[in-house]
Amino acid sequence: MIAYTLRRLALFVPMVAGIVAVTFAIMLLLPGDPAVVLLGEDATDEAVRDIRRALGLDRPWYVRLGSYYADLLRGDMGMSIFQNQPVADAIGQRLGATLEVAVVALLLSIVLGVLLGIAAAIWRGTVIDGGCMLFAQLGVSMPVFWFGILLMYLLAIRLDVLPSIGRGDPLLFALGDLLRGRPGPLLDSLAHIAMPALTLGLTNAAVISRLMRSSMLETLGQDFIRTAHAKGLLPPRITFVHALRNALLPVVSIIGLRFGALLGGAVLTESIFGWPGLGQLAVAAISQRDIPLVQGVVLSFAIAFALVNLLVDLMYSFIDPRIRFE
Amino acid sequence: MTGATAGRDPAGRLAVEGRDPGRDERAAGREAASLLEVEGLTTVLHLPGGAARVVRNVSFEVASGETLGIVGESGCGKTMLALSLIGMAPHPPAGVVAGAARFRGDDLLALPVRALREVRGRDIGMIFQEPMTALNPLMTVGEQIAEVARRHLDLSPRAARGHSIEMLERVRVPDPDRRARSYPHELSGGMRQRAMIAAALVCDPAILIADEPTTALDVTIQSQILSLIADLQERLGMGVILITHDLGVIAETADRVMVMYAGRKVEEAPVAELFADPRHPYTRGLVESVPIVGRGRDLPLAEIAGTVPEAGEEPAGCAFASRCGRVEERCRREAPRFAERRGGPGSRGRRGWRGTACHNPWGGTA
Repeated sequence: MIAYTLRRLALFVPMVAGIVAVTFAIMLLLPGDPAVVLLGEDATDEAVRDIRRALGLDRPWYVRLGSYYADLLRGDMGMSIFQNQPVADAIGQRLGATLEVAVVALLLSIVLGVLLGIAAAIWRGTVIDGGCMLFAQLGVSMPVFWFGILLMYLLAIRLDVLPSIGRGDPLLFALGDLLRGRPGPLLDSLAHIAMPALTLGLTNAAVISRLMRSSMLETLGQDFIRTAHAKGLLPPRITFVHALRNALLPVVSIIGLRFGALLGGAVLTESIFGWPGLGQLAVAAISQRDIPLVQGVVLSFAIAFALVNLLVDLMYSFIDPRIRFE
Repeated sequence: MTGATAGRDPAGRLAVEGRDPGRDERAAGREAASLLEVEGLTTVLHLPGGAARVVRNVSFEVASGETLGIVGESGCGKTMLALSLIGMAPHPPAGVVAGAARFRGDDLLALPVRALREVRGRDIGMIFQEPMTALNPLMTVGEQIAEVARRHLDLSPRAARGHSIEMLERVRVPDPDRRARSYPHELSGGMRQRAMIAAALVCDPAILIADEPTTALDVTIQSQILSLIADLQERLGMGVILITHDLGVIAETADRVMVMYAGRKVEEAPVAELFADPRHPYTRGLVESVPIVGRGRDLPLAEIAGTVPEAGEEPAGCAFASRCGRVEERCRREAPRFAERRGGPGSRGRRGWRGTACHNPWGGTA
């Protein structure tokens, strides 16, 4: 298991190299010269040439790619063209916020989706099932921005129970405060993150609840459930020990994939709720052709995605003994 | 087929080989009262096209230490019958609509499910056909045995674990300590079935229902499992209900045999009599279609023409009439009643009777 984990981590190196190459290629193919964007359409050819030289854009692509790799090894992701600060700093300031809302949204959607899915499966064909599946239908069909604005209108403007925009202290710091006996910052952080996380997690919760329902129903029909009944076991044990663990397997396996969608959704959610994360930065960087920054953001998202997937794989082998990594 | 074969002796009669010769003697000496008395059990399956009676008015008894074999083609209702007894017929779409199953002063069919959950696993154990899917793939074999002990015997987790190892030893699993920590996929089919048996016998049940326990296993393993069940039965004095479509299995282990066709009991007899002298044309068809090793490949194997009626299809007369070689005009009009006959040759005491549901059985009507 440890050897497997190390090997998976070692594979990160070629994977990151690949991601860099791909984003680099996309940036090359993107229409619009960053130098022209920077200077405006009516800049003189001379000025454009100077700025291209200053940015290193006059060098052949393979030299640029090579030097980007070399810089990355030193932890240097280049200078942002418009933010006027190193890309690593710009990302460092915001990555935490994005990961925080994405992880909270993921956990929220897993808990919500799994519970609703189980309820729908156990009480199949009843009002409870109908209610859960109506939620799922709404969840997958409602656009993120619409749901976010709806939530904000209801909870922040009409009822005024949650702050409409912004972020409190980072959750981890706030947890630290709680341990020192000060619950205030944690409550504030939770109040701020509630709506963005719910908005971001809604689609995911809906997808998971549908998958969970069908997986649970399938599992409840399997032979070993019949065996459990024949052994005289009580329904709670049959449902939550025998059926649930088996039914969770397909859910676990899509969680990693869903995290990618979640990171994408973060871009929208962050702009609705003024959440100071990478998403907003990414939108700005793309529209401005801030190539070093775009590459940095894509790279961070890709690594976060890969890490979550590694975690999911390890969790999978933990739940299912048939999958053992040698 | 199993190690035992139903073969023909030189006189052309069917004989049962490979049985433990002491077995019948012991069975004959046992005149215990019935442990389980089932009367008029009827189970309905609600299908889109209407209700089908998949088990129709079936009655039988099982005594301690006795093995009742239930044979029939797939779909004849034998599994549904067994599940109905312990309230496990999938509901919906199935439901028991009539009958009684007296067991230790209770009518199992009338017990609320809460009480049945006490009976299941404690007084009545059940094992199933496919031990791969019948065991939870994510739980160690030991845990799956121990949970029965924790549920019914109120053992501590530690004591239950010890008990599960003991049970594995009792079903002759080598290295039980290590095997208890194995997952089902790490065991062979035979070992898995042994583990299933261990889980079913944790509480020394009075009755073991074995639904096709050897069908999914290799021939050599089949014999081992059957003799294991027989040994444990001997030791615990269990009544065993053995459901199978394999007459070889019946020949090897059953004391009495009940033949089912389209949800009905069509014949019941002590095992030797059934093989030597099958009365119902369906039973005879079954017995004759058993392949016999060394009989010559060019001789065609007897078969029963036609197919089983669909569930829900309820012919007015005998359900077997359309496939029967001895069909009479009356058979198509009127369903035959099950008629018992006592004191036939070879019949001994209370358990010696035999009977059949046929207007025109082989050997004449009773």
